Amino acid sequence: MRMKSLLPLALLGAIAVATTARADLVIKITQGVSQPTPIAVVPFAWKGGGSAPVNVANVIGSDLARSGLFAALPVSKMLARPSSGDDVNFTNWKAVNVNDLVVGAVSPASAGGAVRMRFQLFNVYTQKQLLGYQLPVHDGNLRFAAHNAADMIYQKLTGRRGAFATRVAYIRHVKSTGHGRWELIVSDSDGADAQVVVKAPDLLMSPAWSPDGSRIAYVEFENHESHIYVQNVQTGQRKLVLSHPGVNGAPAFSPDGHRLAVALSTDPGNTDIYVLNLVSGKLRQLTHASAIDTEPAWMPDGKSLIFTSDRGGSPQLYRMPARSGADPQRITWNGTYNARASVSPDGKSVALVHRDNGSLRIAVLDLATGNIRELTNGPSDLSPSFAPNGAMVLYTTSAGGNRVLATVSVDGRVREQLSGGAGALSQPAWGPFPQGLAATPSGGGQ
Amino acid sequence: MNRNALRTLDMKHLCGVAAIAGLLALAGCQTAPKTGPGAAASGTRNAAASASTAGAETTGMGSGQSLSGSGSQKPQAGPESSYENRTVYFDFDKSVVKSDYFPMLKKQAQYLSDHSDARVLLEGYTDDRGTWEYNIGLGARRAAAVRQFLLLQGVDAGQLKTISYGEAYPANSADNPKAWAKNRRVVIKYLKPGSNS
Amino acid sequence: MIGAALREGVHGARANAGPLTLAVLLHVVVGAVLVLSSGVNAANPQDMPGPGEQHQPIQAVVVKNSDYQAAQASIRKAHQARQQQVERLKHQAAQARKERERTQHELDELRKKKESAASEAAQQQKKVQSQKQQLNDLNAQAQQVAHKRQQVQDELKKLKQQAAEAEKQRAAEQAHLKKVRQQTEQAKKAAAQARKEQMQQQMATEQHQQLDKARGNWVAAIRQKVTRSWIRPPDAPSGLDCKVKITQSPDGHVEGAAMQACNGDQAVQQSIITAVYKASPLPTPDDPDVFSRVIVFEFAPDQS
Repeated sequence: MRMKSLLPLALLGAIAVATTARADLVIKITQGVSQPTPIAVVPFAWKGGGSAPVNVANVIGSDLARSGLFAALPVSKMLARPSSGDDVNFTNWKAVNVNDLVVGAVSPASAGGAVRMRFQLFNVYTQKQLLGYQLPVHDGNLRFAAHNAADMIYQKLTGRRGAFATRVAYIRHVKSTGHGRWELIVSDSDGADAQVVVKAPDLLMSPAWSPDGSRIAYVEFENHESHIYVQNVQTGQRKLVLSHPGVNGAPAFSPDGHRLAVALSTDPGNTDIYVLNLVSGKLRQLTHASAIDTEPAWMPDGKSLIFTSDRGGSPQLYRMPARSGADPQRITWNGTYNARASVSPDGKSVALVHRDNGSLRIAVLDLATGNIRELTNGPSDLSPSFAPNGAMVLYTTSAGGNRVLATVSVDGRVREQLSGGAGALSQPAWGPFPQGLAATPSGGGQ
Repeated sequence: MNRNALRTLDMKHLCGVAAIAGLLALAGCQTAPKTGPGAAASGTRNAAASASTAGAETTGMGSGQSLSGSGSQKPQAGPESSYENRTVYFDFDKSVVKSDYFPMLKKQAQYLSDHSDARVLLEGYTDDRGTWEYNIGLGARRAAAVRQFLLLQGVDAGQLKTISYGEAYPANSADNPKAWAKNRRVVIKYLKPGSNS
Repeated sequence: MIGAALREGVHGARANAGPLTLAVLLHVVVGAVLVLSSGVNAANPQDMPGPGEQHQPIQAVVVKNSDYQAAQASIRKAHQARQQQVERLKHQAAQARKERERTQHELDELRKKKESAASEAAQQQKKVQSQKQQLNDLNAQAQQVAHKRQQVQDELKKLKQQAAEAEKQRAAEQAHLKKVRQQTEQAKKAAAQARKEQMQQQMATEQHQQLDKARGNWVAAIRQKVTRSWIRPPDAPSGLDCKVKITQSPDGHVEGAAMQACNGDQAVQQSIITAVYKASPLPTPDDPDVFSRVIVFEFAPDQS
């Protein structure tokens, strides 16, 4: 009978309502948005006369934006310009939809003291301070200090170590008269503060950093011969390490810094990979095929090398043990041109030049799966070099008829050109993390 | 980074380089032609450059053995021969010497055989489609192919030196297939006797 | 041998009561005896040709008188013996005849006895039979009587039963009537009650549905806003699962957020905390009854 069956249901309903009232309401969030985190880096206050020597906020904001993970709020949109946490009114920042806020100040060197930089990082919504540091600026290098701050902010917000306070090396060819001149340049990771470390009237090629960042190996052509040099970046002193007849090229330091993998041709026209022990001077030949074997790149454990070889008919990447060179294994199977490997710091992937339908692009090869993922569109993107934190790749591309440097985030999302200057830029190499932090935190962070 | 130290080195280096450059200019060594018409260079280099960009060179009727370099008739072999008579062009990604160049190479081989003190530098080049170091290897392979041909013609190995510049020093830096074809080459460069240049 | 045959014959006679059979038997026996005895004589001598039979001439043999005398003597002895035998046999036959007559007589006697006995038996049987018959009749009668009595009893019982049943039915009907009356009363009451309850239940369900709908809309609006506010770190690990408990004021302002359990790193946790604060003020529900001050957000991007 209907009346009878409704009664228990009514009872159950009453119980259900009572239960939900006691338990917490759980809402499942299964998606977010994948966009750069909006951040405001307020122009740092300059506690001296005139204008600051370096626009620290600009350096930090540009670094963060170049990583692809952040969108720096344009200064014009800022409703206020606080320089310390005490002055911050978070309503102003919620109003412009930024998640994080950086404020700071630079004090010029007082008598006997050094330039000092102070900054704080806040989460606009929790209103909590996440970082607060006071940094001494070494050698008056305020720009480097700004990159350091950017690294700290990046690490706090992403969990990954930042690679902004690093340097890059590259070749510049200025064509004026005749051959023009060739230069090997070292600059900040954003292209600023470029320093010429080698100048030559003839071809310079393939700069390669030592793992501690103190030396650069490179190729210099002189008198119709090619030579490989290792030069101390700080002092400029250099040593000739190889000068065989024929090809001397593609130097690459081993992860322990004791060996140099190179490409030599002992036999005219046949380029092979050799390993030179920089300590003992011993030279060992690793490849023997009558093919072009070149562009060696070390795996982070120093036990194997990835290199380019056309032994299969077209340039592809191969891998072999660094001690013996036995049995190279081909590792690229997509496409007819795969060359110029740069191994990621975690050893799991390799950035390379990959030809897709005639277009040369930067791609990343996953060593475990063999999958190749393109990061750029070409048509002439070359010389990839991984950042030491594995988050970005430095490479060359064409822009406005010039050859320029650019970075691309490892997910392929954000590409940005670096400031370069005149001349054709090529063959960039991203230097390692600085040995020992330049900035020692004297403030506190959370 | 000690900038002062660097700058000092720079100057020294520049001075040294300037000196060498000056010597080179005076010596009138031939180097690869530069891009574009009217590219400023010294002496014979300039002539060679404008000759190459001017188009096809007419070859004289003579055997090209004359050292006097009379008028517009250049010899077909030897240091006075025109750029085109000393250049082998290659197909994309190939290092095979095409038979089109056999007659020209044979003439150069003959010259070398007849002039045992003559030495040549075989400069291998590529177009710029590819990576720098792989192109060095490809240029080297091309230079070696020409060397091999000359050896087979009886030229003494001591008269032959090879080098690869890869994609550097293009003959034509325009970005089109015609220009690229002009860059894929081996240039036979006669060296001054007794020197490396 | 003859005695045995006689006895057998007598037995047979008694059994079959046939003097004829006995006579035949005796003649056969006598004849057999005679044949047998002649047979004894016939065994010894040589075959002598009968009259009229043609035989081969016999050779005359000289016979000694002594032998002839002896032979004659033996023949005479034999003849005597045979005579004696015949006498004996005759005697025996006469004896046998006497015996036969005697037994015949006995037989007749016995037959007579048997007949009288038989007739007696028959008479007795008749008597017994008639008695049996009488007994049967009496039994039959008794049965009939008993049967009748039983019938009467049964009928009586039946009538009693019927009466009882009738009584029962009447009582039942009355009870039933009473019950029906009661039930009708109850049903009326229950119907009224149920109607009342149903209306209440309907109201409650509608309310519940409305609440559910309002809550659903409210939850969806919150979910949407928090989703839009969460910038998900690109290298967050798969299988991320973080629960953050927030408390809000009635107008949706997030007053506090506390991470309960999270398998992501510090940067991921920060992104989540930021998201819930950035979404503040949270949308408020149309129906204030569904409002909950406490919400637990479970960030689990790989579980859809």
